Amino acid sequence: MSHEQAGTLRAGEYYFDLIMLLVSLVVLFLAYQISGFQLCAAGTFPLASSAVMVLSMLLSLRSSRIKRRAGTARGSEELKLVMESVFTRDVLVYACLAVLYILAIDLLHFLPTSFVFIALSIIYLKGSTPIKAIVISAGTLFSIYMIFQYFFQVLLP
Amino acid sequence: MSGSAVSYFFMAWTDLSLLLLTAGGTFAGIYIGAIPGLSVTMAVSILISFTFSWDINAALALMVGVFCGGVYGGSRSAILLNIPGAPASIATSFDGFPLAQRGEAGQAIGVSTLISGIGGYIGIVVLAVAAPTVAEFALKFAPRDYLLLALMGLLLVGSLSGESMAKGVFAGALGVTLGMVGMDPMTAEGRFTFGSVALLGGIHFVTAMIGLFGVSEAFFQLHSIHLKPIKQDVSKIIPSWQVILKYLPLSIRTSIIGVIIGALPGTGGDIASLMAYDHAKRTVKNPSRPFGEGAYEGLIAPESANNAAIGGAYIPMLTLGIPGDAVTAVFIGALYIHGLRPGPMMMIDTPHMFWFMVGNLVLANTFMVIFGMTGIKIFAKIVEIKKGILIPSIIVLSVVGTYAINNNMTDVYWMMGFGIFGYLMKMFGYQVAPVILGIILGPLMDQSYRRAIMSTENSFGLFLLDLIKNPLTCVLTVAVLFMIVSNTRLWPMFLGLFKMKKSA
Repeated sequence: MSHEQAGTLRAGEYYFDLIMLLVSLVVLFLAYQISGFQLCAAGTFPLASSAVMVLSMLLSLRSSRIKRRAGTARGSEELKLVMESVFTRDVLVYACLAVLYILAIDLLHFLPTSFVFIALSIIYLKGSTPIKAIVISAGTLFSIYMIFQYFFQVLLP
Repeated sequence: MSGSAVSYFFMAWTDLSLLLLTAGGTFAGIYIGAIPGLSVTMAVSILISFTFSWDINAALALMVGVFCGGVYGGSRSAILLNIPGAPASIATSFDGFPLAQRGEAGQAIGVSTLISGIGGYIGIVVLAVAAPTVAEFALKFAPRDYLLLALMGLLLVGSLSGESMAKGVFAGALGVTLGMVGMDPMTAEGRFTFGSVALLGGIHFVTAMIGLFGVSEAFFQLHSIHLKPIKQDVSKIIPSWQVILKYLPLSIRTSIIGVIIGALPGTGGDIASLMAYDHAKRTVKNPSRPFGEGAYEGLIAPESANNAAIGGAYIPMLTLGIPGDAVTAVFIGALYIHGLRPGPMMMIDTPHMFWFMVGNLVLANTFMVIFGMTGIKIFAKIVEIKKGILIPSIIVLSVVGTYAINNNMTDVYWMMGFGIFGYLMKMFGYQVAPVILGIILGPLMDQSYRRAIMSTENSFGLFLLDLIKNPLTCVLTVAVLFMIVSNTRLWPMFLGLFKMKKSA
């Protein structure tokens, strides 16, 4: 592919491509198990699409390797760069908070969980002061409740 | 246009509830689009799950409004903050933001609002004229043609929207594979279900959409959370007639580019506006200022193109059932959910739906101009909403939207998974739009392929022969092959050979 050589390689991009290749190979194997190699069966198209996934990833990896040779960070230096650019503290903390939030909805209820989630998020992301965060959280939830319960008439979690 | 068509065209204009829904949708769309971090695709994706139980006309009125308003609104934050609200507004920021830096944000918004309106109307006129003809033509399409068209759409979106064709194709193929999960509709066999009954129904595309466009974008926005917006002066807004007339020819030219690009399966406002910007740069000899430094021509070209692309994108959506871009992919989903099957038969069986949508688009475009011209002062305020408040609201809305699909928390977990995966994809240079297009087009491609093979009595050789025997199919085959070859190293070699022959 011609225009892939342009630009530099992001820290960790090569490894992400490798993981995607492994995933694609697993998917290819699972697709093969559906109906094997057949011209017209339930498994034909999944087999074709997963083969395209494998092929495109091989091509992407090839250009990543060329870019890597041009000199990019390796080892612990690369890991440090990945942590600084992709898995930043904000992203890690906030992703954990979001996951905890959706897990807690099942145990508690949507309204109290969402209230705590929005308030904590605003405080953590420095959107406002703690008192304002509580007021904004209550206001946002009230609007969501009114709009979705009465206007859209959907069930809240 | 028959009498009943006229009555359906004006249906949204004369029915008060539909009129209010369109107005409300456009109003909401403009402000959703104007808020950095909230995109029109995200808004329509979340909205689709809330309007499941609604009457189709009401649901469409609201979503069309959000679509038109959202594309327009996305450019407001591009001009005021240099943060495009949607991919379709990227080109707008090239000259829009320099204009704002010169203190001309008010005038820039005023001119671009009227020009967006003109672009929008041109797109709708082309849709109204071309769609019935295209639909009639599309009746001649065989399953193999649909397969090729869908493939073309995926290749286009994969190659044009990202930095790497291979990654674009991977994202599209991943989407197609995800679209295969569940029970095969032709043989009732399970595919990628791991013996789980819950997976037999497949992964709902709205779940993937909300995760990939909503949650992943929220995580992505965390990187720019501490950026402080610049305050703007927006006192002078209404442009003079002379200004409008001066830029009208360019606006018409770029609108036509917008409609054509929008009408190609797989390409939408984002590519249309970039191509229009490029066109303006190449053809305008004496711009008001150099391009990139606040040239009005550089603002007008992408603005008319991205709004014209809306009408264009409706053409393949309604006549072929193939989405023009990510938002029309969501729209196709909405039509399916409401029992309509977009494609040539929809235009023939239910022409009233077509004219209703055209009338609705005209109405939404009109509201867009009205709200755009009157609400400039509010834009300047709304784009300053802190991301610390916005991001948790996106997550909560995404949860509510996903839960509303099946009233099931498992969908919410899937959605969060897609959100995290989408964030990683974005951070490592992958596009998420081809995944959605793949999920929607995958089942269509699968069935088209199998029907095409069955029609040749399971002979792959005859299937390949069919790809070149019929003139229409042959054109599509050549187009697909060209798209693949032009992205490989063979293409520059071929061009080199061609040049050598010419010089000899």
